Amino acid sequence: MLRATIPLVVIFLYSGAYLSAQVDSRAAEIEAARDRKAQTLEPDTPTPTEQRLVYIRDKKVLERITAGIAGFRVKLGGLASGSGFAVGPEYLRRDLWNRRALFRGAAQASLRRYQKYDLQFSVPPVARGPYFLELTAVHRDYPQINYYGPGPDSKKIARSNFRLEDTQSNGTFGVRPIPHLSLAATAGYMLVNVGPGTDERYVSSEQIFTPSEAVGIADQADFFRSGFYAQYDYRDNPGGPRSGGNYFVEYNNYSDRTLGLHDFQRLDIEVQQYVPFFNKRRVIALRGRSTLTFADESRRIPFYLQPVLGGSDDLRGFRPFRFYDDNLIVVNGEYRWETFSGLDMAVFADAGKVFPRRAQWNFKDIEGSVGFGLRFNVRNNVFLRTDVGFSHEGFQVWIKFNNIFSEGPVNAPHTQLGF
Amino acid sequence: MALGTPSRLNSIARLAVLGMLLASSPLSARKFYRDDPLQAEPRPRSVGSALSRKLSEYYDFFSNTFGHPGEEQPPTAKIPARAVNTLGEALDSSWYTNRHYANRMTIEELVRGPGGDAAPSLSGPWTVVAAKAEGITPGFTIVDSRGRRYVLKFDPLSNPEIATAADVLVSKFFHALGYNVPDNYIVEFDREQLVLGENVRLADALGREQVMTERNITEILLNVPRTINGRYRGVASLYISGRPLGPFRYYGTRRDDPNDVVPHEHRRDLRGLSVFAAWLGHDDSRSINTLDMLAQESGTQYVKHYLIDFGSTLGSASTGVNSSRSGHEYVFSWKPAIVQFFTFGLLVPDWARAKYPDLPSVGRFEWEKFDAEGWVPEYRNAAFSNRLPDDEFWAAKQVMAFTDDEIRAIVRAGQYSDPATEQWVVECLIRRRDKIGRAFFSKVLPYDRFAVRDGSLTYEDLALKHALIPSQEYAASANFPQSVRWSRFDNETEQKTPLPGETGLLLPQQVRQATAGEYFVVDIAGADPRKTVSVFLRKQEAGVEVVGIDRAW
Repeated sequence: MLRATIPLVVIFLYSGAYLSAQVDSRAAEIEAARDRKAQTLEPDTPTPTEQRLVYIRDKKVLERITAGIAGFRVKLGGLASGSGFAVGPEYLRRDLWNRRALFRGAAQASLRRYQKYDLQFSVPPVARGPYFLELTAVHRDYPQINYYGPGPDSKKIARSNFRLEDTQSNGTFGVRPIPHLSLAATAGYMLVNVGPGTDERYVSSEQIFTPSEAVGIADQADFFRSGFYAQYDYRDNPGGPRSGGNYFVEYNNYSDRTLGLHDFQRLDIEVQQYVPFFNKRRVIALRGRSTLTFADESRRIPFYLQPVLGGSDDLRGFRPFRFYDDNLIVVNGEYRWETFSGLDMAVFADAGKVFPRRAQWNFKDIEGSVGFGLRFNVRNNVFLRTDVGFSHEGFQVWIKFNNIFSEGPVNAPHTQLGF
Repeated sequence: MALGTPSRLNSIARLAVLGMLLASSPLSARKFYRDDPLQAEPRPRSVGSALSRKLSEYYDFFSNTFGHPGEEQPPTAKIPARAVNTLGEALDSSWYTNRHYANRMTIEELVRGPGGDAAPSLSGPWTVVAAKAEGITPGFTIVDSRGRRYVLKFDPLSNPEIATAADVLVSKFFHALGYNVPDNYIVEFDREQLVLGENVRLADALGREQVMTERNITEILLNVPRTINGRYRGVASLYISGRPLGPFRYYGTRRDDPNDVVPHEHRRDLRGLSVFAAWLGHDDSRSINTLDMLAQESGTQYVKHYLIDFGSTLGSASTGVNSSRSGHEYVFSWKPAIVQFFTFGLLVPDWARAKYPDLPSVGRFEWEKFDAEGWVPEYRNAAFSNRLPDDEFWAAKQVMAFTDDEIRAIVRAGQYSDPATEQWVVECLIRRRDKIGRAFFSKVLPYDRFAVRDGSLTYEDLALKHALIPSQEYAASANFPQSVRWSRFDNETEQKTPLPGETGLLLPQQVRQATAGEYFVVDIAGADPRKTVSVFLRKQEAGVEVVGIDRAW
């Protein structure tokens, strides 16, 4: 013990007792402490970890990685559900025309050999200016799209797959006459090819479904599309809405320019409502969506343009693209609660169906799923969503980098294409 | 190892020896020095060189949320606040200056704040010399026609006045409370007021700089709300003189500053800041909103410590309204997160039921759910977490020192265009002030301003003074002094020798007849015997003076 204590006593004598002889006032005591500190001064350098974090922030490393180099960057995801991990280069310029215009081009491929190439030129509503324009061109080659046959009674065991290959050119011109309201006219041309699916675990669609069941599976057509949409969006924060609503209606006429067999009109209506309570720490998110199609007796809608249900964005207890038919109705309800500021949890229920005749627009024979999920956010913007959905066909786990409900009409700027 | 084994005994003996050594250290050699109670720290020493460094807000968040930097309060034997005098008051220093509570300020002085006469001149254009188009809020650095430099900040489009009003009026409160703060002004101006300086560079979102143009100014202003007159409203914050060294931490000390000798987590002015922050809804009270400046006074260069950026106070989040969680829970803490996770949110926190008026300029600021004791900032703050009841009392008495009229006058400096907003902020501050008084005056005996007058020891019962206890009920209240005991006090050994039969506030004969340099102590206890105040007196040639106060609870 003595050996251990003596050095301490020596230290004490040289620091405390030695000084006590000089300290006879409070001011002197403070000065003595300053004396001691002055003997050990060193630069107040942050830890290496903190220095790295400061460097990352100051040099905007994350922003530069996200933005890329000279406009080039890596684009992840954004292909159809079931495509697997997708990656590819993207060229993005937001600084055109004095930052009033945007140009983007991307090429992506996924582990399951899905491919997508797209170009976009946009003139978004300039600050407080009412008009917007968007021109897009996209080529998609999706070799393994699920198809279970037409109608609400298709069987799970009838799973097949097909290749969807299309090229679309679209233009949208719109105006925002008042805050929250967008009105736009759209037009586009679409070249479609359908081929055998490449997922060898399942039969290719054309082998089990006849052209009368899967209309258009044998011969595809090119389409000219024209239409318009209106959207009223007063969500408080589109990146992670907790209050407000988003309503839109879109009408399109599809004109078969090749075969003259598949002319039809399509009406999409969606209503989203976010009902907050307890100061927005709890939210009930509701969505109703319906797609109705209109065609002459002699015309039939090709299956690859039919409304589709099932997947991460509507019936979450079912596999992607589980149900195809001419019409669709789906409702979703989520109860979300904040666990901490960066995470909301949700329990949800989905119900919907596809149906061949518009007279069946009701909730009879509806499919349902329930589940729970997590919504991770940064500054109230959701960047990651995980959902586990259960249905009578089993359960599905979804990991998505978007909100559950779509931003707007299919042909509105920044809305992803259907598949 | 079992208790009583030789090794254990050795450890105990070693500790005993160390304890004896420490007990005889200069800090406890005598309780009072001749210059006690000190009002101000000695003049700072000149700082040779101090590093201008940046801190990471992410590092600050993660280290405080998942680690516990700084010296925490042990379960027992709490560490009392330092950087105080023997009366328990924070010393005037490079951190703090005793102001409104110590020497009552006039309303004019309160409203004037740290400057009050240096608003940017409208007699000439403001030259934009730097700008920030990205980040949380846009802004400019301007130089007015008199050559003074300001940071010009704005409100979000969604909530006009919310951040600018908060920044101005809260800076005045913090100034009156004793802190070093910037000199902020509400300004209104037209687009023509701003002219672009030469070779001004503007960084984009990726940090790429380009020569700034007049159009850039116009574009930045597109995100600024306009007043009813079509003008722009902002807060002009006068540049603080000196060289910026970066933020201070709420723990440890600056290693290059010889004057910074008290760990920040133990400074009374930083522990007590938690109460001020609670009052003013300053949940953004973290390192990133502080600034050390290398200041120069009378030829001495020293580090002066500032609180800055009050745009995220009073329910504001600078970019909009704050979350109702603000002040009630950390951004992340395990327990509430786990509770919410497993209860499906059915266990609704009380704060989530708070009601807020529809006043876009004030955000989520209210008083009914305000919990003075339970208030927390965005994430753990080492100094705030270490506060003790006497730290809280020190701060609460300063909050309570603001009268209703003084609060009204300072809030008026925020220049809210809607009288209802101004009224709401005033009401919230008054109600929150009173809640602070009730909460923290009840944890100790709230006696203060001890003095010897006319042969008697006098003091103020602050709970009584501020009408937290009706005067007619005072005699039956817990605050009523139940016992008063006088003792002779040995300043060297800290031994008390009771003066028998002396149980009143009149100075006993032994005190009156004592020789200069003798010490006495009066132990005053309330109904709760744990709550005591010990008042130390020193006989001087000229009389008897109060030299120290110890509080127990």
